[in-house]
Amino acid sequence: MGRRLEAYFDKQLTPEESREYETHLGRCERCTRVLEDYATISRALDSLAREELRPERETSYWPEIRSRLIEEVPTGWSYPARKKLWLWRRPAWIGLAVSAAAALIIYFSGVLVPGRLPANYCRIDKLAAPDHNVMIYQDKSDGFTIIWLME
Amino acid sequence: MTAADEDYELVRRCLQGEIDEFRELVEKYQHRLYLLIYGIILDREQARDLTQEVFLKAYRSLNKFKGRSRFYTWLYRIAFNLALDEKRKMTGRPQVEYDDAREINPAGSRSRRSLRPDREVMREELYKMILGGLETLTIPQRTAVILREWEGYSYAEISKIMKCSRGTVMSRLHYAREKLREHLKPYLSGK
Repeated sequence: MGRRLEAYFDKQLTPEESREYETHLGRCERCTRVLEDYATISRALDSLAREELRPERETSYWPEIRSRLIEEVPTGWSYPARKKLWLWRRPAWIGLAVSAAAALIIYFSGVLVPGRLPANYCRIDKLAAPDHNVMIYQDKSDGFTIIWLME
Repeated sequence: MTAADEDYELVRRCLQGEIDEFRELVEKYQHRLYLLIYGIILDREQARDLTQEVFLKAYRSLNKFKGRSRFYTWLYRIAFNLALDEKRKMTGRPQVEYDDAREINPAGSRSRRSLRPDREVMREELYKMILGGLETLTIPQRTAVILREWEGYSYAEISKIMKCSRGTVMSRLHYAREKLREHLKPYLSGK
């Protein structure tokens, strides 16, 4: 009884099989009762999903998911996440090391050392603050500008 | 353009870094996934968290989605596996929602609350009974019921998802429904 009844209830029988089974149902009270119970259970499950769990349908998960995606370590292809990684996870010493290396290169290149500055460069401005200095040099011939920031 | 093509197009745009394109996919499928997960773990809070986790996991591995299956099928597999893992972890942990369901005697004698002539309360108790009934099912039985009742999948589709024969699907559904009948006896006509 079980499998046939199951398949009939779930509309998984062919039209011919269904007709045959309906003939059986006409004379089997027990199977008819079981089918009614299955239908009640099915309606109750459906109602549970539609009514009881409805608040979940009405709430978008997107804001929470988006904020978590933005904060997360990326997998390597997501531009927004990768950008965030750079801002978030870059150790402070990398920035300092890069600045120091750039300053040393510029210094030893002779461009910004007083007295060793190429003749065509002149300093056009200077700003000194407690935590950094800015000097701006410009090439007299072509106007090429160098802005030197020392942290 | 079919729904599958639309999904694939959204995935393609996400892969180009347009994170907000993922919103449409989330809002399109969140409730179906929530129902699946809830049906397996029977805990609303955790089902909500886990549904979000499914989308996060999917987004992280979006570049692995090759479009060979429908996007929802791909999501579904992630959700199914996460829910099963969570259910295994939950074993032994107190489960509040099921404990609530036990306030009503499954044998049919009603608690004092169930005698209140309040339709809302009656309905609430019926839901609790259903949840209690679902909890008595094995995970494969429960999954088969959810796939059939909430997702409307055919036996062939369920057997593919659950990696078992059609006969096994029918058998799981049969035993699951029989257990639910037993559990819900007080509410059914064919007692």
